[in-house]
Amino acid sequence: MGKIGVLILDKQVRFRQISKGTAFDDIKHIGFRAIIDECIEAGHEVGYVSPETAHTVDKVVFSLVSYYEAYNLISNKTRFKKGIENKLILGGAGMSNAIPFRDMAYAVCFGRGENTIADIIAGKPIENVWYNNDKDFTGKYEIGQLKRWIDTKGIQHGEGPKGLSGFQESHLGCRKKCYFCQYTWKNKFVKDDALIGYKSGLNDCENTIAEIDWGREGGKQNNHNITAIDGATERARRTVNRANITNLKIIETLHRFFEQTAHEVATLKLYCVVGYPWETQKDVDFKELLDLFEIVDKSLSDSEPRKLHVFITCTHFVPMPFTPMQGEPVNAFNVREYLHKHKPQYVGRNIVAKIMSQISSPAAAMEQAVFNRSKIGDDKYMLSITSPLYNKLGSNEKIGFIKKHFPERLWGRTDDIIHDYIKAPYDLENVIKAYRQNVETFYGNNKTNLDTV
Amino acid sequence: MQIEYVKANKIKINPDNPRVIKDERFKKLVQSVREFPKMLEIRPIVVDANMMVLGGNMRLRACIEAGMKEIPVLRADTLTDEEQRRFIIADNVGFGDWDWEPLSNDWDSEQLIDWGVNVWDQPSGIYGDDGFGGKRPDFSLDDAIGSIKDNSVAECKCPKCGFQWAK
Repeated sequence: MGKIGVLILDKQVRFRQISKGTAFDDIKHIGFRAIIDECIEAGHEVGYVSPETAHTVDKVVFSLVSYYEAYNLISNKTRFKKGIENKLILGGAGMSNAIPFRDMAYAVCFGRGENTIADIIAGKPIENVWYNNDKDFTGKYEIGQLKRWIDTKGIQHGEGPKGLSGFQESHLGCRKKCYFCQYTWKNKFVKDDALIGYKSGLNDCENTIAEIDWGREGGKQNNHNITAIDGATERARRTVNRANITNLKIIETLHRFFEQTAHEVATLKLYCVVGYPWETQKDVDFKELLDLFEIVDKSLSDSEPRKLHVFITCTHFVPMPFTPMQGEPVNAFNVREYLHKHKPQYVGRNIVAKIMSQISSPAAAMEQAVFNRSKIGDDKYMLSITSPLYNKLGSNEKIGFIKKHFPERLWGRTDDIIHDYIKAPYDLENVIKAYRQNVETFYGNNKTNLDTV
Repeated sequence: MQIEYVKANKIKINPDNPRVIKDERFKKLVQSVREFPKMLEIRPIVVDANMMVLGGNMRLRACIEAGMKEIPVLRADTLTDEEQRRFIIADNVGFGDWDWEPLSNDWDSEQLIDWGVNVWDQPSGIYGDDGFGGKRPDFSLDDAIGSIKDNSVAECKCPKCGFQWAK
């Protein structure tokens, strides 16, 4: 069996063997820990390597946690020696496009590599893995590897360092099928029986808004709940297939807190996507959502002692491949700046709701789209994003630079999406039609924020 | 609790520290440590019983960067877990920015407010100076790529066996 190097993009790293149980035990790396364990169990010796020492091992594994890692890898490309193309195995949640790595990667795994890494090292054909000698690769993807690994290892939800939850795999078996989300469209669902006994979520409290359990009598008392609403208005949510989150449901959930819980104070964190391409001012002024809090707050009796703090955390929309919204443009309207100027909030007697100040910028969304959509010949665009000149720019200047110098297919509306090396498991064509029908129904010819930039 | 001098490599950076620091500010901090080392005696790095930093992660990094071999620390080994978490937040003033993702995920907002952190305020200076819809930079794609330094590492090759390694 061979030597496997875990790539560290830092200083020069000599091969240093990883013994079982001494690395990647942090719960944040549980998936990668599974992969390392499998390598060790398959008889490989595993250690850390840097680009300069990667040639000393037989295979090198690197996990792209987000699109940042793709740019990190590109910017370190010249540090590798020749022959890396026969060694480097890439995967992880941030892996959306194999093309930028076609000349440096031996294999690219889309989605989870657990329970498959030994086969990838052996070069066996696997459905969700692209090898650099594949010409006509079409794959399909089946998740559940991590679930099987968890079952085998006996790790229970709720276990972890410092009492953190055992794992954070809220997307495993996700049935929400939001149109913007890659996980539900790139990955197949597991069967119902695979989910028995399995509970996903952040600290056991990520549910749909209607499922939030504020703590009934005898039940678990949750005073810190997290859920995603994915749109600040009902029509935005309907457009992205979150029609189940109605304004009424939100009001009911807030009421349930005051009716059921024994807590004096609780927090509710709401994840929200902003920057959709068809979005209007009404969708980002948060008035519709904040009005719901006001309605509930003013309906409470004067003697109501309980208080609810609501944090709304926003992320800028990114068109992700394998999703119904893959061909949509990045909306360069800077919602972050807009919210900073207007600071929408509701401060009532029993409910306080505010928008968290840190929101990803449209420049970051553009950078991610450029990686997702890059084709052969587009290396210079990704490379320029790694440059010192570019990185000194402010977010609006970055947008200006990309718009000026990059072809529109990398950041604008396009039908030209790369996914010929992975077969989407769903009938995306018809789903895209349904999505566009939604846009027409809910937005029609409204002037959008996209029109203003 | 007494101040003691401990070798820099014995002190552990706290992985849960919700603060980040930008390059320019870090340079200033290193400069500050070099120019005013007595400040560290007045305000030493605070560690727990396992030498994990509770207060002063940025200063520790700056001390290491400044080449200090021994660093003054204060062992706060009598704090409870809850007091340690509270201390990490309460101590963090001055250098560094909040890293909002761990802050919003791993810290209780109610406590943060109680401890005096204004979670709603926007940090200043995170946007470009150009304002909304600002000017477009005047350098070209080639200029950008040209600004990338060649970070390849010089190769060495054994003349006898041909083995290659990085210099």
